[in-house]
Amino acid sequence: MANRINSIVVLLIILLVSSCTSKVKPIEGVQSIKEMDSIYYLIDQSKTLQDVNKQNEYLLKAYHNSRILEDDSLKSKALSKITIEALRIRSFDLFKIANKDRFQIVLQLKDSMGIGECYWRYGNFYLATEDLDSTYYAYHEANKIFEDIEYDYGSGSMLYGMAIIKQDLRDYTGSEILAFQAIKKLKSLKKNTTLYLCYHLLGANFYDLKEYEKALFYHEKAIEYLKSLKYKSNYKELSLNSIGLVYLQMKNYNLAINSFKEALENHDLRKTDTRFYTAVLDNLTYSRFLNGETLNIEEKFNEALKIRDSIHYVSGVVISDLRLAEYYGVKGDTTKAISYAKEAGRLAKTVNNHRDRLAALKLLSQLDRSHTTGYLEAYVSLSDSLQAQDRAIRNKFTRIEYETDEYIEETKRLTTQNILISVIGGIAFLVLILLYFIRQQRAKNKELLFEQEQQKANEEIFALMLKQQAKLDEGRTEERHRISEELHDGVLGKLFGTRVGLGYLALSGEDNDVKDYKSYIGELQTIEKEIRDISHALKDHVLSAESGFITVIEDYVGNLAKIHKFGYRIDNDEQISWDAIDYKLKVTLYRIIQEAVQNVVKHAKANNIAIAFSLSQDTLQLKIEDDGEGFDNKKSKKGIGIKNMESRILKHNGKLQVNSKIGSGTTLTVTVLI
Amino acid sequence: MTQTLNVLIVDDHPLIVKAYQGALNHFNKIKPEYSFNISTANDCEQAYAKIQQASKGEGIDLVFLDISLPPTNDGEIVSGEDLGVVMRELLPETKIMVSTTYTKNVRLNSILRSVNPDGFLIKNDLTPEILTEAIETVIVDPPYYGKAVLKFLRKKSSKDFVIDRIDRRMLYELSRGTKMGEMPEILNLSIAAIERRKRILKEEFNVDGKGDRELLTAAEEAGFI
Repeated sequence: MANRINSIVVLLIILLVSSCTSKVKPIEGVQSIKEMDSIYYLIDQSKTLQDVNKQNEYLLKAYHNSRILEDDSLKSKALSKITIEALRIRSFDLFKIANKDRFQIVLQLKDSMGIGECYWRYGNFYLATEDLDSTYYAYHEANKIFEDIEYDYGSGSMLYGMAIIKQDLRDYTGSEILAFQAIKKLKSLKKNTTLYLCYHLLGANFYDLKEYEKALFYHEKAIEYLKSLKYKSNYKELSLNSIGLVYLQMKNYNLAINSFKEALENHDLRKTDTRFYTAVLDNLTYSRFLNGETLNIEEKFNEALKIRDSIHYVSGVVISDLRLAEYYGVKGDTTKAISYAKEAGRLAKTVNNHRDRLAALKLLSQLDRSHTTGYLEAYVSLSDSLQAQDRAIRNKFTRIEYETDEYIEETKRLTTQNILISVIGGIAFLVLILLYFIRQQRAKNKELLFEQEQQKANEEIFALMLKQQAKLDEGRTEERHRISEELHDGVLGKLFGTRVGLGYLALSGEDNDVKDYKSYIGELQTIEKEIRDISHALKDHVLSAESGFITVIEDYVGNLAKIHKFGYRIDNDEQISWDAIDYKLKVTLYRIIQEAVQNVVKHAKANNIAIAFSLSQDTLQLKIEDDGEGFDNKKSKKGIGIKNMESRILKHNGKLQVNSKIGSGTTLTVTVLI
Repeated sequence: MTQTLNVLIVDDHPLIVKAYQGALNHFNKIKPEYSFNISTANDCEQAYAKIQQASKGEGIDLVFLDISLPPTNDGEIVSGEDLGVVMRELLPETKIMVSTTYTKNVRLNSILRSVNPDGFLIKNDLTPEILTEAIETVIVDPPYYGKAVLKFLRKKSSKDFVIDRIDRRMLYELSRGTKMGEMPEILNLSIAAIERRKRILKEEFNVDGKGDRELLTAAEEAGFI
C-alpha cells in the first residue's frame, strides 16, 4: 500500500511542476532581478546534482537568498519553486518553512491561486509523510479555493488526490464519487495524464471491490487516454500490471501471465523503476505458480526477493516472503513456509504494512496448525483495530466534508438571503423613489394649479382695475363736462350778456373814461374767450382720456418702484388706441410687464427700468429694458418666468425676444400684431 | 314810414335777453324807421308756445335764437337748433338770427344744414357794433354770418372730396370717444367695414398709416367734425 502512495506522490509532484511551469509570469520590477536570478540559478543547479544532500544545500541557499526579498508575488514565485524541489528531494524541513513563508505572503496578497497552491503542496507533503487526514484536509481546502476561482485543473487534481486517500482507507464508493467528479472537471480541459490516473484509480477501486469486469473496463479506458500522452512514463506497464492482477484474481492465469509479460517487454523498466519491475516480475512468477507451472518458480521468486532486498524495498521483501511462504506451503515444506511467513509478518510490522501483516497472519494460521487459534485471534484483533482506525479517519473526513457542506449550505443560505435582501431593498428603494417622484409631481401640479389660480385672480384684479380706472376716467370726464358746460352755458352766457348790455349803455363822461370803459369791455371779451378755451380744453380731453391701461401699468410699476427704490419711465405711443385693443391682449401685456418687472427686482439689481410701447403699421411693440446685472443669454436655460411669458404671447401669435449680456442689462422685446 | 317788427328773443340768460333788447333799442335810435315789438322766452317750452301762438296770429319777423336752452317739458325739443327747425316749418317767413357760444365745426355745420339761419353769430365775436350791423343786414338783406362761421364755410368748400353721412357720423362718434366695439351697433356696419372706411378716410386726409387721433385732428381741421 505504501509503495502505491509513494508512486502517486511522485506523479502528483510531476503534475504540479507542469502546472506551474505553464504559468511563468514575466518578472516585475528591476531591483530584484539580480536576486531572483541567483535564486533561480541555485534551484536549477540543484536539479542537475545527483547527491540529495548537495541538492538540499543549494535549495537552502536559495531559500536564504529569498529571505531578503520583499513580500510580493516575485518572492511567492521563488518560494513556490523551492517548495516543489524540496518536496521532490523529500527535504521536508526546508519545505515546511518555505511553504509557510509563501503561505503568509499569498494570504497578505490575497492571491487565491497562491493560497490554493500552498494547500495543494501541504497536501502533497502530508501525503509523502503518510499523514492521510491532514492530506485530505489540505486537498479539501485547496479544492474549495480552486472551485471559488473556477480553476478546474487544480480542482480536478485535488479531487483525484482525495479519491486516492479514500481508496487507501477502503472507502471505495467515496473514492469512486470523487474520481468521477475529478473526471468531470478535467474532461473538457483534455488533461489526459490526470484523466488516465483517474481511470486507473477507478480500475483499482473496482479491483478492490472485487468487481473485476468493471475494473477491466476502466483499465482499458485508462489505456485509451494513454495513447494521446506525450510523456508516458511507465503508465502503460502500470496499467498492464493492474490488468494482470485483475486476471489473476479472476483466476484467468494465462491472460494474467500475458499481461505481466507484456509489461516486462519494456527492458528499461528495471532501470527506471526497480521497485515496480520487481513487483511485475514477482506477479508474473506468482501467476505462473498458480497456473501450475513449476519451472524456475522458486528461482524467479528468489530473484525478485534478492533485488528487493538489495534496494531495501521492505514492502516488496514482505510480499516476496509471503509468496515464497505460500510456495513452500504448497510444496509441503511447512517449516520453510512458516519461517518466511513469520519474517513477512515481522517486516510488515516494521513498515506498518497492515494489509500484508494480516496476510502473513492468515497464512501462518493455515501453515502452523498447532498455533492456528493464536494466529487467528491476532488476525481478528489486528483487523478489528485497523477497521476502527479506518473508521475513525473516515469519520474525520466526513466531518471535514460535513463542515464544508455546512459552509456551502450556509454560503448558499446567505447568498439567497443576500439576494433576497438586495431584491427587497431594491424594490423598496424603487418604491421610495416612485413615491418621491409622485410626491414631487403632485407638489408641482399643486404649484401649477396654484399659479394658475393666482394668474386668474391676477387677471380678475387687473380687469377690475381697468374697470375701476375706466369708471374713474368716466367720472372725471363727466365732471369735466359738467364744469365745461357750466362755464360755457352759464358763466360765459352771463358774461356775454353783461358785456353786450354794457356795450349799449350810452355812457357820457370824460373821453378818457369812455375809452377806458371800451377797453374794459374788450377785456371782458378776452376773458370770455379764455373761459371758452378752458371749457373746450376740458371737453377736448376726451381723446387722450382713453389711456386707462397705461395708468394701470404706471400704478403698478410706480408702487414697485417706491418699494424697491428704482427709477422707471413709461413711454406710450399716442397712436395706440388702447380701448380698441382686445382686453385679453392687454391682460397678457400687463402680465408680461408684471413678470418682467418682478424679475428685474428679484434678480437684476437694476436702478432703472424703461417700458416703451410703440406702434408701426399694425405691429405693437413692447420693450422692457433694465440696467441691471444681466445674464448670459446662451448659457443659462430659460427660466419658468420667461417660458411663461413666451407661452402667453404665443397665444396672441406674438413673439418674445430676450437679449442680455452679463454686466449690460437685459432687454425684453414683445412684438404682436393687432 | 315806420315799420314795426315782431321780434322774439330766445335765451336762457336774462342778461343776454336784456343785451339784445338794448341792441334793438339802440338800433331804433339810429334807425327810427324800425320799431320793435319785443317778446322773450327763457326756455324751449316758452319759446315753442310763443311760436305756436304767433303762427296762428300775426307771425314773427325776427328771432334771436340761442342754441343751448332748457328743453321742453315733454323733451321733444332739446335745443335752439330744434326750435329753429320747428320755426322753419311753422313760420317760414321768419328771419332767424342764431347766436351761440358753440364754435365747434360740427355744431356749426349741423346748424347751417338744419336751420339755415339768416344770421349766424358766435357770441364771443360779438360786439355792440357787430350786433347792430348784423341786425340791419338780417332785416334788410340777409344773411349775416359772423367771422368764425365764414371761416368755417370757406374751409369746408375748399375740400373737393365728398364724405358721406356715415363717414361723418363715424368721425363724430370717434371724436366723442365712442369705442370701436360699440361702433357696429351705432353705424349698422361690420367692424371690418368700419375699419375699411377709416383706412380710406386716413388716405383722404393724408394721414394713412397713422392713428385715429391724427385722423380726427385732420377731419376737425377740415371742418367735418
